[in-house]
Amino acid sequence: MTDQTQAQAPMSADEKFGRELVARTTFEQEAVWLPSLAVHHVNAGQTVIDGKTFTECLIEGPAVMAVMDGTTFDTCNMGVAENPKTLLLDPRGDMIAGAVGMANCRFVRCRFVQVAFTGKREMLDDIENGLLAARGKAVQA
Amino acid sequence: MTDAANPILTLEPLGPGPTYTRINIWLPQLYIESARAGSQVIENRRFEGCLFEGPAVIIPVARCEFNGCDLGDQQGDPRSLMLAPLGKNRVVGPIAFKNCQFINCRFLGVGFTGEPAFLDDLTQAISGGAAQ
Repeated sequence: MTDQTQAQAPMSADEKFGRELVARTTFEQEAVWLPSLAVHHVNAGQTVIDGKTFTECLIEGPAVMAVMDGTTFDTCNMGVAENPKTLLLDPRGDMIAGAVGMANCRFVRCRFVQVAFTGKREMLDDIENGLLAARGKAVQA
Repeated sequence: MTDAANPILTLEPLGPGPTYTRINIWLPQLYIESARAGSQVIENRRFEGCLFEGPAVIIPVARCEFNGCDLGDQQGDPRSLMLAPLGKNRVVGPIAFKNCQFINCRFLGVGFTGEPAFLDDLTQAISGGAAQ
């Protein structure tokens, strides 16, 4: 039997902030430091950031994002690069270490700074083709 | 625009080194401290017996040594720790190290990228035991 009267240790400001952050599903017009967002999720037992929508956010690294199933980019600036390939990393193995996994996340009109992307080869091709198409439009405009 | 994930991570500063011994190092913090001091590349440091924590991908750009290091959980395949850059001359996102020594360090949640020869060497070193 547990002692119901035993006082719980007070939650630190860091822990409180982290729990609130992890519970959020929408981010709008905010700067999001991806390493910090990832660490708060890991501390909460979530190795993948899942089911969040970011609208008009600045997503900052240094970080490598593993783009997983259900994650989409709508009218985003993926980063400054003359060659889109500089934003892409190809995992050598079946698993990926060091990347921030994001599944079922939606990025709408976001801007990425110092963030690289990794994942399945077809996804990398899609991102590269999207960046090339966007650059083509910019040149034509 | 407000800051969402930035404000509260109260961490002791790691400082400029150049030698770090038996401490825990959160790689994004090391990068931020270096960038605030004016360098996007972490350069001329010696790390001994340190635990490096991610999530982060590191890229040794010149003269980095790994001696007796545990590079992390390879999940049965050392290639799980490696990412190959698709761009040939430049890469965005990983944390760059130059002229650094890593002695008996441990890496947790960290990936590695760089030239194909470096990744091949690292894969071979992991397969043969501790990274040399």
